[in-house]
Amino acid sequence: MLVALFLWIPPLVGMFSLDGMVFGLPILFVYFFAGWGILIIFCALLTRALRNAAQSEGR
Amino acid sequence: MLSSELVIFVSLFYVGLLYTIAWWGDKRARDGHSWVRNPTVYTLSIAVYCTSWTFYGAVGTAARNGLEYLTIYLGPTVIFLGWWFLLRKMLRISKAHRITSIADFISSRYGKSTQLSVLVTLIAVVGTTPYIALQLKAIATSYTVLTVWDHGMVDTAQHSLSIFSDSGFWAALGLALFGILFGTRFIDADEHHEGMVAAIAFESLVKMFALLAVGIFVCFVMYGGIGDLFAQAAANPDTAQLLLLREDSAPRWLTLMMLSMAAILCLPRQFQVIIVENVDERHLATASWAFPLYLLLMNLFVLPIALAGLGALPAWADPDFFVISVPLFENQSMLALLAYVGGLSASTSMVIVATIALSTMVCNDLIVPALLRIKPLRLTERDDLTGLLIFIRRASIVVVVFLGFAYYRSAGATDALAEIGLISFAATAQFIPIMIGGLYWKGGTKTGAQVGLVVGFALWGYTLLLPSLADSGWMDPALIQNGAFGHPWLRPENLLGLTGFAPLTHALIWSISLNTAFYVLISLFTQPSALERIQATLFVDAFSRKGQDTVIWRSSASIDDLYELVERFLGRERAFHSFREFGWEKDTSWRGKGEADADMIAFTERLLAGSIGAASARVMVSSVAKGEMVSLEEVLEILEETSHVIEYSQRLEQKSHELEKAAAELRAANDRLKELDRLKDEFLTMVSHEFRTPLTSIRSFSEILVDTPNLEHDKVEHFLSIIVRESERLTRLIDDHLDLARLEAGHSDWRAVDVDPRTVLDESVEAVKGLFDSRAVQLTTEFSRQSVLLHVDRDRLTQVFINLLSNAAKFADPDHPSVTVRGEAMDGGYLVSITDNGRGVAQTELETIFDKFSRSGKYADDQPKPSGSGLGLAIARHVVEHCQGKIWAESPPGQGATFRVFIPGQIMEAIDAVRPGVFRTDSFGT
Repeated sequence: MLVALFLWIPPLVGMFSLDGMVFGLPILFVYFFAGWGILIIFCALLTRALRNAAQSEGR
Repeated sequence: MLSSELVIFVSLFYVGLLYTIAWWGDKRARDGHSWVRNPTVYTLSIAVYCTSWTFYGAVGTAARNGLEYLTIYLGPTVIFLGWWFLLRKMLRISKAHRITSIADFISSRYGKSTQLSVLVTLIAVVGTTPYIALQLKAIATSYTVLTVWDHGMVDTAQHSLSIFSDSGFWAALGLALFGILFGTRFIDADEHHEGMVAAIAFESLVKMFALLAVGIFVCFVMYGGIGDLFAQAAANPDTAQLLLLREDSAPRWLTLMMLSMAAILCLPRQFQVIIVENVDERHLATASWAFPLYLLLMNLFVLPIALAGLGALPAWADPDFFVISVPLFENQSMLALLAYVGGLSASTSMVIVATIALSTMVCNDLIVPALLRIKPLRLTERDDLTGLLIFIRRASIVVVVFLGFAYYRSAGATDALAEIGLISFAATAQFIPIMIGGLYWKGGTKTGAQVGLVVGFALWGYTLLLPSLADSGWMDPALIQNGAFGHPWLRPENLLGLTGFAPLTHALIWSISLNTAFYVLISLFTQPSALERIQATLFVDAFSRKGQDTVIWRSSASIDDLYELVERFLGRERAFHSFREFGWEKDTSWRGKGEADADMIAFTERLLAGSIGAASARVMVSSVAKGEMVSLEEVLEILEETSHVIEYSQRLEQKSHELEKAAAELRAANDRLKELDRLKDEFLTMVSHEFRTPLTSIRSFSEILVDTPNLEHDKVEHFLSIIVRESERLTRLIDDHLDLARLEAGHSDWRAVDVDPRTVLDESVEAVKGLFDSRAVQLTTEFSRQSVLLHVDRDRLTQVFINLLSNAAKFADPDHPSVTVRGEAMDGGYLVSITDNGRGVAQTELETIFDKFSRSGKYADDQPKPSGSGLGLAIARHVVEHCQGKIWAESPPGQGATFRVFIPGQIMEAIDAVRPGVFRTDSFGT
């Protein structure tokens, strides 16, 4: 959560505000959406781990 | 361009479809097979966050400010990714207290305060009004764009002459109707609206599908893929700057991020879908990643659509409606219609949920408390109040929707969609300090919360709402430019001369910081009431506490009184079911004239809290249980008493630990005593045995002498000598015993003098010379040159050495007996070692050999038993230990036994040289 917050507020965002393209897309655009996707995957894995932990605790 | 008949028909058809879904969802829920209660539907219902502001406005923002539109969605993403910290706690608390709205939540935290819930409700209504206006504007404008697509449409939208020709009016009417039909069908204790949730989830799917469809069309049909689109945009200097961050945008970026984080927590409709409509905490876990995923999909094509619109459309086209106008421009009228339906679903879902949430708040926290206070209405004595409640809610829905409509007609029509939405966000963000403070800080008080909220809201009104109203010509713009009373420090957008910030950032800096400051400071300087303290603890320690605050009520009301009370507010059927379930669960009676216990009264209060709010429920229950309610001071006393009892029991526990320890010690002592008793028995047995042997021989020889008078003289003499020897042995045995007993008891006389151990050794060797000679033992002595001055009883020490020497002589190898005596002066004492070359001592007996009568194992069976008493080593040990010395045996296998005695003393000057000497005597035979 804190990682996400720091990734997406200035000044870090400003560092990616560059001219140029990655895979034919603007760098900042890619930065946001790739980071977003990675965090979602990370959170899904974490949630699953938490649920498994809770289940094994319940047994 | 499409015909207005077609658009109206599609709109009505869509609303009809929604109605069907909602009706079906409600029906399924009542039949008990609700498919609404699953994580996917829950996540989609949270997506009510994406209103037409997202659907249309995000594209507009992207066209004006580039990637800034993302902040509104990154904030909620951050909150949801961190659901474990904040949302989970809010959910847990709300479930435990049957919270039905954000006003309820805040007022519950601060002592179920009615004033606070009224305040929160007012702020929420005022804050939501622009937001609803935004949706109405979106519906109206999108309708216009779709039907009157040309240069002149801008005017048409804003200058509708009559209210009735304004599509926004009809939209408002339709939405109010929908809210009434599905939000207020009946009064439920837990405020779940399955039908509404089902419809909202469906709408979320529709709007996502529509936006994705337009996005894909733009990227892959209008352009040759997304890369091509960006390449063209980068080539145009106007659009190229949208792909970068603007230099001065940092404060605004930060502000928007914080605002959106606050909004997802505080917007009444978000609170409704996330917290109130939640049926299972695990659903939240799924939503924590699924909702950010939904947001990501919604936002993916926003920038491409904006860029395409900027690139292709004429300059007069409003960027806010690119989602519709781009397909229209490309002559894809069906796609435009789909986009319109998507936008319609985004708007309707927001208005429906917001009005339902607000109507609950207005009814529970504003109207009902007010009505309860008007005594002449005798509301507390009326029979069935469900009808009244439903009527109040319906009326509030209509009022809220048309407040929004009024704002839209008057002020909001000129602003961009996103700007209207942000004004709304800023108002609800005022709840953040008291919410976060309430969840994690027990010190926050009601007064602090009230003052903070009033100050923050007033500043919001002055710095943000006022300029917005002035912009639309409702007020004299001079006030904005020159400040109130013409004072430059009071200019709403540059308060106290603070310049250099955008109006929104400026307003938030002032309102939130002063809100927080007042909340904290006043909380620190005011005393919370007893109820506030209890609620604060319940909220802040939500995870560490089990059970609920059932102690608040003392058993006093009759069960029937409570039952009737619930019946009045919830209706017959629901009261019946709730009470019956409670009765079954707790296994108590739930009807009758009997006394209700504290559990049941608390249950009634929570049940009522679900439908009329915590503050009102409290008033109602106390009207039934009047006069017998336990005062909160008493409750606190009880709590304190409990804590005393806990303390007392902790002390008891400690005592019992001590007792246990003592018992263990006693047990150990008892074991030791038993062991000693056993040893004593053993000792007695042994002593009797030892005494018996000489006595037996004395007796038997005496008897022979008596019985045979004419025995030969030689024999008589021999027998007599045996008798004498055995008597001596007996005497020695008894002497040794007495000696040992004295030593053990400490009664022995000690005449300590300074002696040189070498002289003692010399004397001892002299004394046993006879024994050594008789056995032809070769004796070797080695004394070191240095000696030590010992302060001991000389006779006792001699006794020890003689004992050790005679033992050595007895146990030396029978064929070539040899004994070595070595005396060494050491640092701090004198060490005497006496070594024989016999069979040695078994390793297991090295210790026990010093016990009384322990000699048995030392002898081989074929050897005659030596004449010792078996007490010599025991006595030696006592003597040595009395001199603070040490005695021990060593026996390396096959090298005989070595007994060592160490006695502490002071080193003396060297006197003699080493005197190695060999005593060798031929044996005389025995």
